[in-house]
Amino acid sequence: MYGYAGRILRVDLTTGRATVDPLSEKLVEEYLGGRGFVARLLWDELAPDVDPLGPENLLVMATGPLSGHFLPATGKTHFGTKSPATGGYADSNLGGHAGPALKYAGYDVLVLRGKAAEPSLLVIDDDRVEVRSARTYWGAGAIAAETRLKADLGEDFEILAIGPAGENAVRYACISHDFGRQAGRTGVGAVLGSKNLKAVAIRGTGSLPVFDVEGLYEAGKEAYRAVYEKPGFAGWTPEGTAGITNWVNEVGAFPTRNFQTSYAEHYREINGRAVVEKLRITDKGCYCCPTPCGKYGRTRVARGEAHVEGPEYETIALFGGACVLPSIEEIAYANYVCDELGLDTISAGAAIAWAIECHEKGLLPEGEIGRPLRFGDLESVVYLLEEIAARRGIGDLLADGVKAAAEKVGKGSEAFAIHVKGLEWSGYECRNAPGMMLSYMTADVGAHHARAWALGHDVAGTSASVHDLVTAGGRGDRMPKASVEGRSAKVVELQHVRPLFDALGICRLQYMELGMEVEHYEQLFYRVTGRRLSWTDMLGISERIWHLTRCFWVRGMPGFGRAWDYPPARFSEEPVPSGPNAGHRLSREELDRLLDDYYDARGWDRNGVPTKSTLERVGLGDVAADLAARGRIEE
Amino acid sequence: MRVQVHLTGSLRAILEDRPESVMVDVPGPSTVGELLRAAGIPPRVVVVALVDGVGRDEEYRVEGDAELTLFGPLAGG
Repeated sequence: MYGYAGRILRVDLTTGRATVDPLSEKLVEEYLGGRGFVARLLWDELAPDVDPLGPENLLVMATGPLSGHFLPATGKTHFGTKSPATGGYADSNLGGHAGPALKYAGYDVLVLRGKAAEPSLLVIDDDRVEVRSARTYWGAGAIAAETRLKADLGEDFEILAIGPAGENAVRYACISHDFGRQAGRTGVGAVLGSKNLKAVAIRGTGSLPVFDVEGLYEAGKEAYRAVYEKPGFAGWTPEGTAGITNWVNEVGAFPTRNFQTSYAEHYREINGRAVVEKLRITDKGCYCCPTPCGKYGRTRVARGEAHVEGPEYETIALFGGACVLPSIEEIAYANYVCDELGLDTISAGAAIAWAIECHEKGLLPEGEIGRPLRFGDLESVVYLLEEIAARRGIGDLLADGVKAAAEKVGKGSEAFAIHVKGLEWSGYECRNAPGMMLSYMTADVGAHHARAWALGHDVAGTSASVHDLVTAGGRGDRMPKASVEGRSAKVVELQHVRPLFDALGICRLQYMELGMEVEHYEQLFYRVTGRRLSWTDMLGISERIWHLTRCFWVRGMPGFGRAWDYPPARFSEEPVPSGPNAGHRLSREELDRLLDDYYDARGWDRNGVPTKSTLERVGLGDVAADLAARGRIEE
Repeated sequence: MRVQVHLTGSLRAILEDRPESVMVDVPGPSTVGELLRAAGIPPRVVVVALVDGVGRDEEYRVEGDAELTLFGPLAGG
């Protein structure tokens, strides 16, 4: 089986027993790898009613066919589970070097189940797999633990670790790697913590079978050359993802004061240029990456100084926008605290912004919190981060996420608990961006931007035609009301493109941002695997995976359907009060129109449930039969 | 004067009918915003404009032949 290591490593942490299974050719043929492997293995092996934080839950780490090969940006690795944040399907990925190490150790996939009797460390050293005590590491910060483990085991081990938040089952705890890369979303770190697993250390010294070594060498050179010769190559890397901050603000999509508005006056203090001028020491890239977008730097604030990778745009949006921290140094410090505690900066930032708004509205008094809170105050943010990670006081409420917290607090706080399906919203305010709104509403893990990013299309489409927009004014001018018409087809298309990279095990930035042609990916895939698939063929597999993840929700959540897909009431009831999108909102009727069109485009019924014929069309007949037997879809 | 305009990945994905590069002829010195309009590119969807490799805002005045590289919006990490 060219391109793949050909084996799945399974470790039962209850017994400490490791077993190895061959990678199924059917799984490879139908799901490619990465996110596809995660989705199918969870469907096949996870009972629908397991507790996400119970020992029966699975944590799947999966690489793709291109992972680990000497080709552009092949360091992506996927983690999947039943989410403790949402109770539904979950996956989250990270870059760095851990996935390639797993493949060189001889495994495409690692499946963890059970629960260790004591805090533990899983060591994978080629064929030697053992569970060791991690008592001396328990309680350490995620980056501190990585530093110590590399010192103790050897620099050539790749480390995946959790911080105190994961140990304490914070439902949006992340898995940390490479001193600042995280599988941040959906609470995958909490699942590791629930299994008493502090870290996984991987060293791989083997090699991977390749179909056409000489052809791959040439195709790989061509792919790198294509990246280096793209006109945007030199200009994109310097600021990384933070470079978009000005634009998002100027088109009125920057989530400010817990998404009360969509424009922040202080954006020039917290943008990509501020990252470069005030923080950056060096660029940092993942495995084989030609465009290192990570910014490793140092921040100094009144409470101390720290080295940190980032902040990336999303962290800027949530801490600089939603929590209104006024400087890039303070945002970077909050980023550092999250990284050590093992918290997702997006969900943590959203939870804190919600708490501050509750406090301002008198719904969370100082006596319950332990101190006053205010927007723009680093001390408020750090205090809450530490309370959350320890599940102490008010932190215990916030550690379950804004959906659960708002259900407990009530009194209208649900309207500004910014999430979909229980996953906190990332960095784009959408009251005048219907395509992006629909992307968030229908993303298969909850309100996450990396499944389909339609904001650029929304902005281009706010005039009747692009020609009108050419003369309609620049960024920062008032935006016309966006139409909800015709958004679903683009969102469906994007939901197949971005996740395809997650199945291949490769970063999307070279394609998305620099325009690397799809022919390169077809060539690389063929030379690695010996299998000829067109880009369209691959998108077809990505579509199959999308339907399967929806079915995971349908099977596991009694009554799952349309009601799960709505955004919080703020976005349909409160017009944006200021900035380029002042006065705009998306009414409930407009949201319904978006969903109707989307379900039609997907071949789902008006409750958002895939139909039997749709599932059979995409090769999921067995899934349809399972759901029909359970009475979840009609025969 | 002649300005070579390059569109990078995400911008081409949004403006699907545009070529990767286009030559624009203008009668004399022009701002970046004027060059964008001459090339039929909506300024609102351009995140970063590089003039001969240096980031410039919409009001920056281009005095002679130049290369204009345009970045569209991208999702954060």
